[in-house]
Amino acid sequence: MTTAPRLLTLIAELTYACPQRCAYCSNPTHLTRQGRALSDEDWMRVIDDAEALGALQVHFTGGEPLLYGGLARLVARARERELYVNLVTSGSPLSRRRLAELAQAGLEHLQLSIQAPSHDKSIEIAGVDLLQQKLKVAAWAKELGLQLTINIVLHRENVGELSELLALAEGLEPHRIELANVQYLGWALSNRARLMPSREELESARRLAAAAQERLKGRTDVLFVLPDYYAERPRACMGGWAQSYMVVTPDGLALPCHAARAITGLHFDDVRRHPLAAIWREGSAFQEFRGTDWHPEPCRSCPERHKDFGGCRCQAFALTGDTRATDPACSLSPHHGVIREARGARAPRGELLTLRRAPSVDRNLQ
Amino acid sequence: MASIAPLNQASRPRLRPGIRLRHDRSSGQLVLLAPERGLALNASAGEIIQRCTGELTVEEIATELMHIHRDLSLPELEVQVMHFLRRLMDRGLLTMEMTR
Ligand code: SF4
Ligand code: SF4
Repeated sequence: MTTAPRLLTLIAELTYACPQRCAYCSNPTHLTRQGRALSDEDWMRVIDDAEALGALQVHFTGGEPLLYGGLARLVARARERELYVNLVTSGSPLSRRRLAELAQAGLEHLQLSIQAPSHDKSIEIAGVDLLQQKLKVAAWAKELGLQLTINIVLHRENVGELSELLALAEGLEPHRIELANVQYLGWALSNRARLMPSREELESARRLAAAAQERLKGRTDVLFVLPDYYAERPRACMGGWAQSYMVVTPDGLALPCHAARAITGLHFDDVRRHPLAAIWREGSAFQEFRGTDWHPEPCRSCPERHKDFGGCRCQAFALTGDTRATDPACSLSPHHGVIREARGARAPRGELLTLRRAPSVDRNLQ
Repeated sequence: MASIAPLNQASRPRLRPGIRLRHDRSSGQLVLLAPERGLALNASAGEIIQRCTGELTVEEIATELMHIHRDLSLPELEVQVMHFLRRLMDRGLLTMEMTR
């Protein structure tokens, strides 16, 4: 049984600019082909229309959403519309005063990323060390009564330091610790041979996460999901393509998922040109892979298809060149070999250069 | 962290900061909003949570709900309310106000 698609979550990518340059960034690898940025007024309309369509929450993200000057105004608008207001951030640039303003405006949940427990590692992973700033921001968030999630993206460069990372995160007394795994799209795909952990490394990470779950019960939720490269079944892409999420990019394109912009051959509508409801219901990119009717074999006759929707479209495109293909992460996919190979093709430590986005040129960036 | 009062008839449950109730536009039902999840509430769950403002005690909440659950005695209803509240506490959504 599939339920009818319903927009629940608006993901507002306010800017692609960011003080960090993570080796696994999900922003487009080609930042040049961008249109004009949305204005505050455009964003307000997007927020209103998303809520009118049924959305219950908004994630302000980027890039770094703190680099968007009008953030507090958008937070206030979203809260006025009774949306649950999330901020997904690196924690910089931010003063206590500005965070208090955001909380005052209606911010409810701060999701703060932490890359590594040490200075050198932070630089290696994110191109910059913001750890001290992040620790301050976490403390402010708690003081201001915000819900706090510490998000740690795991990969080979930091998976060996998970105990230290967990100790660091626990000390901040967050409500949740999210141990995410890199999704090999965009920059992360270019750096895959460097970032891919081994099965053993993941297994010990899973054990550490389970121990933390036990230890922190009732205080901090600890979430850990096995990455799809090591699972036999794919992830349902965002709860299914165009089932409950809409991403709006800094330049106003409505996407069914963060990474969809990389898929060539899909047309994405501009939120300034069409009503959000029309894009959600009839937009060609949203309709293309909605539900299960479009599935080729082996998904077409597979009982799992209502659960995972055939996996990730962006991954199918990135790894097979065919957006309609079954996600190669599925062991039933005829392309599953590329996943097995990637697990084996891990570069010897220190041997590969990391490719990363250029430093952000943004006048807000001090 | 401040010490948390235990859950009994005299405790005063309150939603944690950053957890909020609203009506869902399409179903008209109450939903509980929290990071990464929205919980759709059935009518009786909604009746309980609406009263978790830190003002009322569990006993007072149960008393107010007597008219909806006519088949239950007050002690029975209290047990059910506490059972439900316990689950919300375990999920970090609810806290208990210290008795004033
Ligand atoms: S298609 Fe893949 S990258 Fe895109 S939302 Fe789905 S899972 Fe994420
Ligand atoms: S064949 Fe398709 S539907 Fe079945 S498990 Fe694999 S991806 Fe999912």
